[in-house]
Amino acid sequence: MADAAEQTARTPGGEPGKTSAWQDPVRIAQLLFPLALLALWQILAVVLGDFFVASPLASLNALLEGVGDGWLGADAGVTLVALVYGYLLAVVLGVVIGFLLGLSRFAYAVFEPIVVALYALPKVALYPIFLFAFGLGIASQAWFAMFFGVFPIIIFTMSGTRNVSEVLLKVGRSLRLSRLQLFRTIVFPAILPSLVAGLRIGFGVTFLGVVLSQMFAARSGLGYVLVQSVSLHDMPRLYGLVLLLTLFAFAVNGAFLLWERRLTRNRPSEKGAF
Amino acid sequence: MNAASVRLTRWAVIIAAIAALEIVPRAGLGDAITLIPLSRIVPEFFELLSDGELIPHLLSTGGAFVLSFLLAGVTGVPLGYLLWRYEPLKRTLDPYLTTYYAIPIFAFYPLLLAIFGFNILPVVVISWAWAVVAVVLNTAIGFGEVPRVLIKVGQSMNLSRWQLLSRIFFPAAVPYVFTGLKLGMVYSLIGVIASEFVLSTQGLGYLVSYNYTNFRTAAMYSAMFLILFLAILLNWALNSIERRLYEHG
Repeated sequence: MADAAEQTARTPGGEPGKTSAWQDPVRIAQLLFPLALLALWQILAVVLGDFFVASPLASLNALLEGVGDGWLGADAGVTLVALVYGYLLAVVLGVVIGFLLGLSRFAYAVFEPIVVALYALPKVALYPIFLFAFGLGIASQAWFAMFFGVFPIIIFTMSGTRNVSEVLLKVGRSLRLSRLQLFRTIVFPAILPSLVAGLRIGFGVTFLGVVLSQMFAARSGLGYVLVQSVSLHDMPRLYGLVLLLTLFAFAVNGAFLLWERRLTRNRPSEKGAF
Repeated sequence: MNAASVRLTRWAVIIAAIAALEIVPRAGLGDAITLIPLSRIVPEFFELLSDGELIPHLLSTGGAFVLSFLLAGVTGVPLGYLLWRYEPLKRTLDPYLTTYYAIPIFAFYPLLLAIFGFNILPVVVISWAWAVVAVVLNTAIGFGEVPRVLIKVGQSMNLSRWQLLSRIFFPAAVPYVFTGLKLGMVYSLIGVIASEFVLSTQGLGYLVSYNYTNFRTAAMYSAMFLILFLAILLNWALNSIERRLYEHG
């Protein structure tokens, strides 16, 4: 998936120099795309009626009311705390495990297929185990979300560590760098791009884990409000929340993508890092 | 390092993990009510299999899975092909497609429940939505990765446009399209299980949540094992087919 993003960066349409970027029709179409979705949403709201589709304005209003009433702030706060807690766990565990497994060629060969296989399993149904272990509340949501997010971070860190160039390491050793210097000047910068890709994908999956866990047996959080709104058939609130979650995920992912692009801009492209 | 010792160690790790499922609960390292040794889950598992109660759930999950995967294949492959054919379209949508899996798509599931009601439709729609983009992306990549040499050979043989597509592009893109379909299948299954587990009235995912809320812990674990067993079987089969495709390509 990262490849496709790189391609956009590398193959700008026609000859759009830096100055004519705004005249590039693709660029304009990209900017118009969200507006087209918004227009489609509005049309569907009019055609299907507000029993099925709440209009964008009504949805926004529901969110603003939520801010006024205080529930939105409180529930978004719960979701955010669980997200930060779970993501920190995923990052620490994922980077440490991924780095250690990547250091040894043997450990990498043994564990890589296991980790990839675990990543592809439907792990949602294991949530009750986390409820047993951590009780109802934020801790179980965070550890469950960690269980989602840790695998991509392990995979990317592991392959990043495995692919640190042997030549660069030899150069470093011949310069008599200490272990710490070797890590700081050669190993870490070499791992960083794939690490950041792992952090980005891990964040998305962790966020998904938090929302899912709050949909099941929770008393607060945005996932809980979503499920509650179904029984109330509160369509503006449902659409508003989905919009909020989508925009939030989009914004964070965009920030990670910018970071990745800055890291890879000055490097020869490395294919095969997913 | 040889392949045999790698494989041996890998199996040792897996067996140790399974053994831990037996030993940890027996050693009393956790709550005896919630942590049940494997040897007490396995009989429950076979009881679940032989019990007629399982069949409607299995059919419901299987039906939703097959439907959503077929939908993802039928819509995803042509869309991927279109994206490859119309380069500006691909470049326009690229940033959105690459961001797609960062969005918690399951947030849309309650919305679909409110629209369609509690039946199989929201499950199928959300699983389709979860799976289709992987199919689209990989199909588009697959057609883009067709080696230039092959295209030139085709052109030098004066193949017509359709011949070029059917003799060169389609066969060359097959492994990539298969990778897309494989991901689509895996994602469909995850989508079905997740939506059933969170909120529904049928299916294997529902069976786990039902047994959890009714304190039937052993039955809950056996339903979990059934899900994991089916998923592992599916992944294993898909991966071995995929490996064969790339070897020939």
